[in-house]
Amino acid sequence: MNDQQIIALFQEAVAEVDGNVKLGEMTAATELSSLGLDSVMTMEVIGVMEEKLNVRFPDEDLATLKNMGDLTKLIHRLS
Amino acid sequence: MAKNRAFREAIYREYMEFFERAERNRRWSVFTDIPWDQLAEENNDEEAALNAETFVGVESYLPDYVSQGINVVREMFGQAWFSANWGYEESKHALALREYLVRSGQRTSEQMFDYEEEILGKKWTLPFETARQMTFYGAVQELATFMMYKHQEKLARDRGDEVLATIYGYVGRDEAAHADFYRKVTQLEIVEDREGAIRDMALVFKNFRMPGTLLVPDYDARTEVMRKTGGVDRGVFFKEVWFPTLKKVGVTREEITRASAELRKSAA
Repeated sequence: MNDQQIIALFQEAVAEVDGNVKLGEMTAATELSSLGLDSVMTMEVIGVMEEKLNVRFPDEDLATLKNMGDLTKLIHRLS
Repeated sequence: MAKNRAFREAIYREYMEFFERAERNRRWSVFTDIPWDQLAEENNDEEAALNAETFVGVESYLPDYVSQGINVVREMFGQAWFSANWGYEESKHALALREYLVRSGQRTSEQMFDYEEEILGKKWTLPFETARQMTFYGAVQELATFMMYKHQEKLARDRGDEVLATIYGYVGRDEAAHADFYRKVTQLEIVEDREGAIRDMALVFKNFRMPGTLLVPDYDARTEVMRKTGGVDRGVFFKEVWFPTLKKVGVTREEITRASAELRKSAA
């Protein structure tokens, strides 16, 4: 799975959690804090991604995620 | 809703433990424990002063926090007495920082009175309705505040401002103790009604905001200065507040996200 596919998966997960959230164009540099997701919603999106990827992101790694690039790196590391 | 006797007794014991520690180990005096004689003009720093003034602003809503907060828990001795003690401890926070700003010459007394008038021109209202929700809000908010003070303490110490560092050290220690009490009460609430308590935790996390938001004048600009000087950003919030709080009360993030999804469904 490449970075673009991971970003697309993230967008799908957001839509699944709350279809009302509108995400613009996203790149590796997109800050997670700029997406308008509250802390619980962010974790819901992470949960959906874990289910789809069949992985479990360690809490300590989730706490360090700043942008989409960090998320893609984490997924590559765990895959 | 009236709580049962065993629950009330458990809260009382938690309060007594909290209060004993506070009385024996944590009391400090604005007059005798701050090294005021070490104030030095060369340590003055406008960003640090602005941050201190912001904290004074947030802490200055104390009359609202106390009057509204205590009534939510007035029927529970342990929590009501905690609120009274909390008010005493918090009252020293704004006082110490305000004295610092004036004694260090970074603000005049007149400026602080003007600021006070502006602050109290607005009123803080309860962000959540029930004692259980407010307790968990307290657990999160006090820990986040502790993180901010801890960071400011380090910044002040690195600049050689021992007076400000000492103040932040004391107020931060108070905030950490308050967070601990709120977490322990939350744990009792979880034992009593796990599903309901977790639903409330999800609600609080989803709607969480620090108490000064939208109240303190120029809050956004002040927050920007706080961030620039390394305040609590989203990553720090998750790492130092969100996950540790869940871990300490024995709740998983999956339980929170499930409860959040249910809240959303029931609101639709």
